[in-house]
Amino acid sequence: MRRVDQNPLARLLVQRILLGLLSLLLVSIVVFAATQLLPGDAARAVVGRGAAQDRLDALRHQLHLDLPVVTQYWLWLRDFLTGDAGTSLVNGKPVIESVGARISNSFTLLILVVATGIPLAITLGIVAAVRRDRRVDTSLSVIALALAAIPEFVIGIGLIVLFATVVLHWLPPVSMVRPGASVFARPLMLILPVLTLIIAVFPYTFRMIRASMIDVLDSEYVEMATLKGLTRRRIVLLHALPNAIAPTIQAIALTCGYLAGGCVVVEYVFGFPGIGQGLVSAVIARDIPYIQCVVVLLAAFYVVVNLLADLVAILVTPKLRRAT
Amino acid sequence: MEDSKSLTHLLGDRPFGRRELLRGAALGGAGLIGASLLPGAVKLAQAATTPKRGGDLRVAITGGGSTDTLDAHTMNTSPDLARVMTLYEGLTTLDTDGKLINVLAESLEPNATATEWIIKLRKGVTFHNGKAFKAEDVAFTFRRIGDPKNPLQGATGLKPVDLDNIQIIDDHTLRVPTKTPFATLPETLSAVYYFGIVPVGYDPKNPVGTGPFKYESFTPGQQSVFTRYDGYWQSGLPYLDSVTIIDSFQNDTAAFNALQGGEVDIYAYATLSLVNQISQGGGLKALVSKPGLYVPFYMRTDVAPFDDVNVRKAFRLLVDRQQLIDQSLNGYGIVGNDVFGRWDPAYDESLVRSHDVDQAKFLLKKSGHENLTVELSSIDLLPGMVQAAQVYAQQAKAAGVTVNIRQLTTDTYYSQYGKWAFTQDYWVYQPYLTVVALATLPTSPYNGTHWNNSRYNDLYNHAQSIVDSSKRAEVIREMQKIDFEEGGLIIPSFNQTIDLMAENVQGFESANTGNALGNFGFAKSWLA
Repeated sequence: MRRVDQNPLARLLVQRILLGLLSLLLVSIVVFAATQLLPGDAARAVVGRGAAQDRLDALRHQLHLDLPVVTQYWLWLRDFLTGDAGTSLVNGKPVIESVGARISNSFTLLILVVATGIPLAITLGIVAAVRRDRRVDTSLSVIALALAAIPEFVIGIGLIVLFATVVLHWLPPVSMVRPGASVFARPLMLILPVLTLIIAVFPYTFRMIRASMIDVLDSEYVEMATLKGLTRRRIVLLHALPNAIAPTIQAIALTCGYLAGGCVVVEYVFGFPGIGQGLVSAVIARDIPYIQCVVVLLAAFYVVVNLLADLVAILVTPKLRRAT
Repeated sequence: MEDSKSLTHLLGDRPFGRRELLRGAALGGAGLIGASLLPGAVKLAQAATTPKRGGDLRVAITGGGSTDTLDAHTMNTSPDLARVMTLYEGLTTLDTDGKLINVLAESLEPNATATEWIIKLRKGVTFHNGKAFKAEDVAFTFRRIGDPKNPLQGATGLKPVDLDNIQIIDDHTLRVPTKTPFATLPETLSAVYYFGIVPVGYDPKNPVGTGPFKYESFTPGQQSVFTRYDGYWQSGLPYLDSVTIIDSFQNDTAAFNALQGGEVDIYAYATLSLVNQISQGGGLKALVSKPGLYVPFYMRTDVAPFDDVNVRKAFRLLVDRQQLIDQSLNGYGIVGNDVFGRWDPAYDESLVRSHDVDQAKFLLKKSGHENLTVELSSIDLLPGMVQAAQVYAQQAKAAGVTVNIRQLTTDTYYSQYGKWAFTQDYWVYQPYLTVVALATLPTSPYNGTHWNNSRYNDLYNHAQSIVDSSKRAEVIREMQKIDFEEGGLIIPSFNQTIDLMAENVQGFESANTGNALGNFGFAKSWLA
């Protein structure tokens, strides 16, 4: 313990992890409580249209929905902590099977978007900042502003019309994946969803990096570097960028969080078998173990990404590094 | 072969892609001429071309989700219906004209009082696991559905049957006694999605039936695959190697895009307005069903203001039915007259209700309900459903009635199912008395109008004891008269469903059962 105390970074890390776990617990309680407030339950959803009361009662008993709410929650938590996410109330299959496949699909999408979209936004952001108020900058800024104003589903549908159904027939308009198969079985079908999301997340990151880059380029030390006769390239990449990147890291973290849960629109438009679709379907069916599992995983992802972002921000900012 | 191909080209499918003919078919002769025209064209095409074997038919159906199931007796979503009708078969079914025909039964004979049925079964039928289909399987199926500890969806239909005393006479004969007279057992059993026959010891984890396709794979809310059952009893069928049902699309646009992009061959239960788009697109055609599906408004006859028969009658008179069909269904439907069982041989065609605002106003005034305001709980379960509510609200204004529409989500709607005072629902075609058992008796699980009329109940019981169908029809017509004069249903139309498909999809006939794809006729479909 002593060593941890002495290392401020490690102390921060432990603190944040504990707080993160507490948030997860609270999230699971809040979500569980919220599902109780919704009208209807899984038995209703399974039975659907006007079931006889005796069938409903029988099903509720089978699904343990007749137990007190607190008991139901406790049973779920106990199993979850021992690594058992439970079985779906509505189709009796292990939750983790279905969640696992969908999460890996969504995660693939997220990685592809982050790996291509973020570097693109950073590069163009730097270019725009360096060429501030010149034609490149104004056109990029106007484009980014325009894209930011278009809702994602419009972008998605626009791309489908353009590349898949009406104008050209180059790409598949929907993302059909055989259950159990990898999304890479047909890489072509990933292009439109990834492109849609890149367009959706580009403006925010682009504007963020452009703004902070401009701030840094205006600073005295950059002026000093210029006076010293350093090349423009060296100044921008080695002197300015590291200082401009810190605020952008938070933006990237937010983008990741958004992508984790926010692919829903893209899943809706393209029929992409991701986690959002699964969650919506589970909420409609009041499939509590499924909802809990997905929400806790998504919340955990948020916590981890934010933690990483803070750590990276601290590591790249000498001032913060010392202050902690 | 060359000749026959070009003949198909001329007579068969091309006109389907053309909007003019579709419209003509939908509207012509109040739908009936259209109804007979369309399948005529399909049959001609089939006669001219020999069906081709092989291929995987990919069918997109929206409305699936995590509650999807393969259980023969707990169908829950639209894609479930397609799956269940692919895997399983009943003793009887309705053909594409809504006529009762035998499937796994060879004959069903009642005694004189309709209190006992002798059912003879078809021989030479096997289940997908190779087991021979026998009387024991029928007894097992009936008992599974009607199990008092876990009654399944068809339990209401089997209520009159004395399940404990079903007697197996030999491998292919059963004696089925009933607790109360049950003249419509064969009609009732025609709902394949309630009464599909499963083998003794059936476990839905191993979904075995006698249908043309057998289970291959299934992922709820995504897709399921069914492959040809080589031992199918109808020799030569099916033509396809497999049917893949894809229900991962959460909206109509994605399903339509998939069809346009060639990712699927069929988009079933299509949005009606999309038909107009395919005339431009090329490569696609539409299968327009005969009218059969209906989307009634339920007025709860036990709560104000609908407990007053004058209000109910006024609300029925306020519907301009043809306008509602034109505006909410793009013209794809025929006028309904608040009475169900449209294709039942006993249906009374003389019951016709015309749009009459003055009479409606008069009745509302008489009952002291002038300037009435009501809430209509609408729900988007089928193409045109919410639009029908909107058109109705508009039409009701003519008599000073304010209809506020509250659009519910599916889960909210079902959580209070049967309790909404003024709402909508949907029904596929079933024979009249079968629907009565499900919808308009105090014991009915889907009695959304809370209809409980003692004379009507007596007539139902009486009808069930009449073996002679023409004598039974007289009683049915008396019941329909009560529906027409006093009931809580507004049935403005019988709707046509539309399936969009690629040009090379063949063999589906237009049906009037209200189900998609010619009552899910996958057995006879093929890919050119």
